[in-house]
Amino acid sequence: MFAIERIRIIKNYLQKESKVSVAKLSELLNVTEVTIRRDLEKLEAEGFLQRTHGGAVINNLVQDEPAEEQSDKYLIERQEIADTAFHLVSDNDMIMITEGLTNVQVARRLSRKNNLTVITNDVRIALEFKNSPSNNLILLGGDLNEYAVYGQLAINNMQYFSFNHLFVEVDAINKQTGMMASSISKASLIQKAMQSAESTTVVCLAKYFGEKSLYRIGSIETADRIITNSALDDSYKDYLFGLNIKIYTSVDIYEE
Amino acid sequence: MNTPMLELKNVNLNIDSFSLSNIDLDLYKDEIHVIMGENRSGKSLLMQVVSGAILPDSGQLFLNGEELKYKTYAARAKRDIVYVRQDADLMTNLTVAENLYFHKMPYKNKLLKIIDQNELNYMCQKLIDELNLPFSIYDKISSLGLAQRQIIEFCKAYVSDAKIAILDEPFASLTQNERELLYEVVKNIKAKGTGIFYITHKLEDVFLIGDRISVIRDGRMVGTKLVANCTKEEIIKMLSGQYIQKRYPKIDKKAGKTVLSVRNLGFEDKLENISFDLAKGEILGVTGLAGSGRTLLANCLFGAVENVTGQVFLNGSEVKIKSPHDAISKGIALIPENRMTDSIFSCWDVNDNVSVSALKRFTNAFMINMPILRQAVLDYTTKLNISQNPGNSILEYSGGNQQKAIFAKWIMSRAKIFILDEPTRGLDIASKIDIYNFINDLVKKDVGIIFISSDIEEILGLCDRVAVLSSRTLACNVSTKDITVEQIIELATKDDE
Repeated sequence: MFAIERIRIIKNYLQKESKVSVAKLSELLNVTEVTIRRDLEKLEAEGFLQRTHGGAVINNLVQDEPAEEQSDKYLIERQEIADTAFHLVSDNDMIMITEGLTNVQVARRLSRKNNLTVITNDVRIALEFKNSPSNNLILLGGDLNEYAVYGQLAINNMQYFSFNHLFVEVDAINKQTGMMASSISKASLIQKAMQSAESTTVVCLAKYFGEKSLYRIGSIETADRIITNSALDDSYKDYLFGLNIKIYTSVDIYEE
Repeated sequence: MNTPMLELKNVNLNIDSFSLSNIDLDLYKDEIHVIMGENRSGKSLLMQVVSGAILPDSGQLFLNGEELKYKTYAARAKRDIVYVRQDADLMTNLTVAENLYFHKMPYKNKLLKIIDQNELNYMCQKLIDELNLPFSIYDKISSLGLAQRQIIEFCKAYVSDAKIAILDEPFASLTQNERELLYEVVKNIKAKGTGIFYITHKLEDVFLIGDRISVIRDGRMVGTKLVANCTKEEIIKMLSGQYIQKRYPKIDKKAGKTVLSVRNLGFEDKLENISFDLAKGEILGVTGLAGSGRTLLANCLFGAVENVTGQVFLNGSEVKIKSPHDAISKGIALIPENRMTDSIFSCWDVNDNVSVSALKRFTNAFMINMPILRQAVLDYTTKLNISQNPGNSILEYSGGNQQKAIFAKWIMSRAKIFILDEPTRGLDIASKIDIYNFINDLVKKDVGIIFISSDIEEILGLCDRVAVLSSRTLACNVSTKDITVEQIIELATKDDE
């Protein structure tokens, strides 16, 4: 049995029983105790459980990870999206990544590339590149709003750059109104960025398709690719294919 | 100009999500009207309308200049039009003579239906001499090869009193001699004053026997031209049309080490001298006309047919794949073209269908650990968006969900090489996109993929390299960046020699 399957089963078991012994799991899953211990170590690193002598107990305590990621229900989906983005960028590309939680994951994944030049308006994205000296990071200046800079200053800043590849994270995609953002400053920054990009990839969780947000960025056709997770509604797959947009419903299922 | 024998005006028909739209078509006496189009472009459906087997939704039908009601047309068509189909429907236990004259038996006694064997044999011998056919009247059909059967089919059209003949796609695998003989027969049918619709994939056919050519694409008429004043390039242009390769979700992945090498693979007289390499994380597209041996190639690699010659290397060491069981244990998966007969277990539900090739991992002392198996399967089906109706037979699911379940099965069994034979044929767009993205996930994780499809747009949009099967072997094997749709069509429709 594969690790992914075992880990799911162990998690389910622990959620029900809250503690378990290595011997019990080994018997249940028909693998050696060594394998079970390795799985438990992995889960302990994730913060799901705490190992005890000969077993494990479920961990209900809050971890010291960033609070935001702790509470992020869609972390796995965002990571899957990031993995697809990773395979769309080549070394030596000039890219821009706009603010957003999914884009933070995209940046984390891309920081393993070489010789990228990355432009961003998000401080968290900038920090993802702190340990990858082979990539070149440019942080835009402007009015800081929570984690990202916006406003006329940021837009003026951007005019010095042109890039191969733009990753924008939008807040909603809708058949009637196109791509939407939650603030006017975000919408206008994205519009400006799209003008100076050779190709635009829109990143958006599947659950935001069909939703609405207040400010319109533009029609969907202006995107070259859309990356989302596998829960995307079928009617949108149909619709977007008809518009000749590449639609990536990232799914991470095959185990090497 | 005289009136056409047959005319279709503005015909529309919608069947099973495929439609013929605004078809105009006509046929004159003493004419061979060639119909071309890619697989699934609607040629056969159109011919069924012409032969009166299917009535159109709207449009006008004329015979000899007279507009007919659909029912009347169908009745007349039954009498006046003979339709020779691709799949030979000969009676294999009867002789050549009996087959040829089946609908025109000479009787000694009409009432008792006693066949006049002498008369029959005499007529048939005369025909054979006339057309110079390569078999005797006493030959049983079962002893004849495919090519000869095809010729007999065409002769049936010659024998019949029909004024119009529809000849559907002669086999792609005829030799030059057989082909010439076939042309002779076709010309003889024409000389009788019969109008002929000749459906073919071979460009050469058009120039050798055609008077006019019509090209159909996606259920629409692209155009009709006199063969005398058109060139090969023009026809290829009509066939290829506008392709949109932009919309296929392809990821960039550097191909890894070679995982599969095939050298000089051959099978009987259908495939020969096939060599190619497949790298990890690479998609190799294989295309070709119907009957060019695409499916056969897949079966050869999967060990589903015997007596395959040549060598196959997996990760650099030579292997012998004698059966599908061998193939599966070596990490090769095949998703066959015909889902209904070859890949689903129709009496089981989706969960059983998904788990069937991974059971080994869930057994303990000959017992299957059901609760854990169920959980694992659920994991796969939710991830792959397969709707859940536990207990329902897989037959109650849509084609898209069935195909996704088949993917789930092989993904769960962790195959290293996937051979996909027309994986998206007949699926709705949403399921197609799901499948393209499953393929992406496989590619990311270094699986090698052989992607067989007759949809050239799909091949160019999705694959890294493309190989064209033509005249029993691979006519090319190049990067998809270095080839155009026109070139692929030209290679695929190219004849022997």
